[in-house]
Amino acid sequence: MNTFTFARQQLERFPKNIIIRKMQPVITIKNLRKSYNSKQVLKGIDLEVFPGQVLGYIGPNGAGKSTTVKILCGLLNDYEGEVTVKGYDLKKDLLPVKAMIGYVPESAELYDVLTPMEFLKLMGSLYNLDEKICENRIEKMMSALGMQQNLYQRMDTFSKGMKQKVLIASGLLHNPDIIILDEPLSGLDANSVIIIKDLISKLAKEGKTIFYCSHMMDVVEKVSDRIILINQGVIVADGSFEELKQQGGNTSLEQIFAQLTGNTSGVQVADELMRAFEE
Amino acid sequence: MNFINRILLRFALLPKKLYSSNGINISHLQSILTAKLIMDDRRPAPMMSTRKQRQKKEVSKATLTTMLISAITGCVFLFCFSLEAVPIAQFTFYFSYFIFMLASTLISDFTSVLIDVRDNYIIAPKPVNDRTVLMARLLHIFVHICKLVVPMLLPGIIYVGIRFGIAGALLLFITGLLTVIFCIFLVNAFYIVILRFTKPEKFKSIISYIQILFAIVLYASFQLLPRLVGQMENFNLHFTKSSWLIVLPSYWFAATWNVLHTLQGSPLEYSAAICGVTLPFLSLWAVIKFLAPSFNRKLSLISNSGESIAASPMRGALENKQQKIKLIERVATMTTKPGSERMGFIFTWYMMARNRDFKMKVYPAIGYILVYIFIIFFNEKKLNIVDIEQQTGTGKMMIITALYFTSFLTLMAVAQLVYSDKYKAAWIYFITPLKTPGNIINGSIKAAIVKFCLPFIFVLGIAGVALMGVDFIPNLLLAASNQVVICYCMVYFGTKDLPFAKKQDIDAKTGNLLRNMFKMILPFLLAIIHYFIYSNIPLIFLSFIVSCIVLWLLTDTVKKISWAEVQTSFTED
Repeated sequence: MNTFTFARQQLERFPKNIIIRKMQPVITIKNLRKSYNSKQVLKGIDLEVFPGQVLGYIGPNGAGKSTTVKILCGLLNDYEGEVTVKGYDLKKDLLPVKAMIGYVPESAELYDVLTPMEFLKLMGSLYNLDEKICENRIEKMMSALGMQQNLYQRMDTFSKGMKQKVLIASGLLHNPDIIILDEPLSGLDANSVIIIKDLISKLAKEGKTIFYCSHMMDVVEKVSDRIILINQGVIVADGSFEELKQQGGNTSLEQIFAQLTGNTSGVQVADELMRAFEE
Repeated sequence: MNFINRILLRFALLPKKLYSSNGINISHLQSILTAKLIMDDRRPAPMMSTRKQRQKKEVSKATLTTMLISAITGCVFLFCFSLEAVPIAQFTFYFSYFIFMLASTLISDFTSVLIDVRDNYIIAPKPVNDRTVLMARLLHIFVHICKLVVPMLLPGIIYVGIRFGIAGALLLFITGLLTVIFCIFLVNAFYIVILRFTKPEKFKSIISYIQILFAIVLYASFQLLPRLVGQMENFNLHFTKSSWLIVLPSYWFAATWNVLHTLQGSPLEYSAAICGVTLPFLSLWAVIKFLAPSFNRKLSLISNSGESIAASPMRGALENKQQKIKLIERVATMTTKPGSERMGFIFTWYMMARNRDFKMKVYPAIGYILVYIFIIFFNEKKLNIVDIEQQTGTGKMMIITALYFTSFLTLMAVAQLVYSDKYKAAWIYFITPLKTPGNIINGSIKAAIVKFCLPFIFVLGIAGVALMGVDFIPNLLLAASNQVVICYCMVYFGTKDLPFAKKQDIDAKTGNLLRNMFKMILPFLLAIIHYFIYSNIPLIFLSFIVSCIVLWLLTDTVKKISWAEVQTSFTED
């Protein structure tokens, strides 16, 4: 038995999280603050994400989820604090960071007069991919998503789910190490949802880091091995679903969410609604 | 809701007894109509929205704006009465414009305003009976047409009232109504024909092509008509004797007015007048009997096409498309460096050909310019092949005009390149590791030049060489290189942004006046300089070299446009 296999066996005895925490973080966010005009949206986020983690990033509307994502993707750069990705400072080395990240935006606008092939080739060239490799990859990815028939059709006739599949392909095209998914399942049918969920866990096994933003608690609960809950610009919970359950003593992520974001009166709202019919 | 809508609504709801005896629910009818009219009020007027939209201000008086625009259009029509011709000719022109404007407005309004897909989700599931829905729709169309027609006719009625007396004005009002009925028939027939030949998905782009065509024809007619009438000898005699006029609907209504007003006329005018009175009613009957039922059904097809599912493509079409793609890529390989520049070229090429917004803005302008060139060359009787062959003063002037006028076409396209209604789709530039946006910008300018400038240079080159021989080539080269310089100048001194990444109305800020002046002056300046050195071949060659150096410097700076220089509207929200 050589030392390598021995070391691996030793490592495998530890729970997954502990192994991960010994590694270098892929994304490090330190005291991240961001305000729009006078309104502070992020009030000091501290976060370390490790390779192979599937991070569920959840929070109510306006909590600062999409702002964090926009900063990570390099769409916003007037923030305070420090964000490093694989040792690169986001403010100084924006381009290498962008090259490592794959972004699947939520129901994004598309130049929908293009065909998926044309659009994805455009994306590939912006990621400096070789044209032949790129074309090959596009064909494979789109047929895997069941869209080889639509490869040369303009996207303006596509349904929301089909557009979403193109977006997913565009985010994975350059084989990035970090994948940021913003509501990736919106508009997809049940079969595609299963495919994507499966894909997420396979990507994570390959050592890819996945940053998963969503409102759909039941999906986040299942796919992510670490959940970050933010509310009003600060992190209010951080841990695996099991850990969160123990902390809160609740059963579902939805309830933990309601409890931590100060919305415990869901029942009362329903009651009040019912009372509207009383004349 | 403003007072005009309120009055029209009250007017439309007057025959309450008639409605309720026909099984129409008055309160439903009223609330549907009220909602529709309020929505009309908040929809920006089509002519305003293509220009500068107020950015943050909510639209709340769209009805008044629409009516004002109609009234102004009506005033413009009055120019027909200033032509030196017999009244019946003036009225023919007047009615031509009226039919033209009304039909083109209605064609676009029927899909965008009057038939709303959301009715299917909002009204259809509610317990409202079909007759009420139908009546609401008809009344809505009626109110809408009133709002268009009344202000459009009003200036004409006032003018005719002053010139021909009250009876004349009254007759114009009546013939105007007949015209409206006929227009409704035209619009219906148009829809039926178009839908027979095309798929509903293509409908919207066809509508926009037709609007482009209408705009160009309108502009051409404004330019050419007075010249035509002024130049033709014995125009009045020609006009009154031409029996082919009977096929023109506008002539029927003009004849109707004339016959009823003067109570006399030629046999031709009498027969046209009979057409004018009877045919609108005949067409109305045809609309009700034959066209309307299938019309409604087909219209809902168009409206539904917004979310149509992509049909599986045929094999043949697929191969054909791949072939086409290869061709464009070959052009791109010839003109651009690989990487983001080439991608910018290909992307812009596709977008210019397919983006409806871009086409709607650029193609009419191109049409106007072509009309203008046509006027300069053919109408002023300046065109003289000998002048060009001999390269006399006027000949030179015309050659230079032809060479430099086309630069406005390319400029128009280049200026429009950065804009898109889908500017939010520009996220793709920002999340990818794109080092210098200048390369993409450079590629996209090249695409515009290849598409809009090269064909003209090519055509002019062939024509020029055919007429003047190879001597023309140095001048052609200088003009071509100058045109490209002008384009790059515009980009360099204009707002720099990535292609199709800017919101249309963001530029409404001040400080553009100087820039626009510069835009106009630069081509003129270069053209004038070129004119003076035209015959001096060594000087032409020298200027060509200078121009090429300037071009090389300019492309180099454009290529290096950095993120800091790009004025994008993408990150603003």
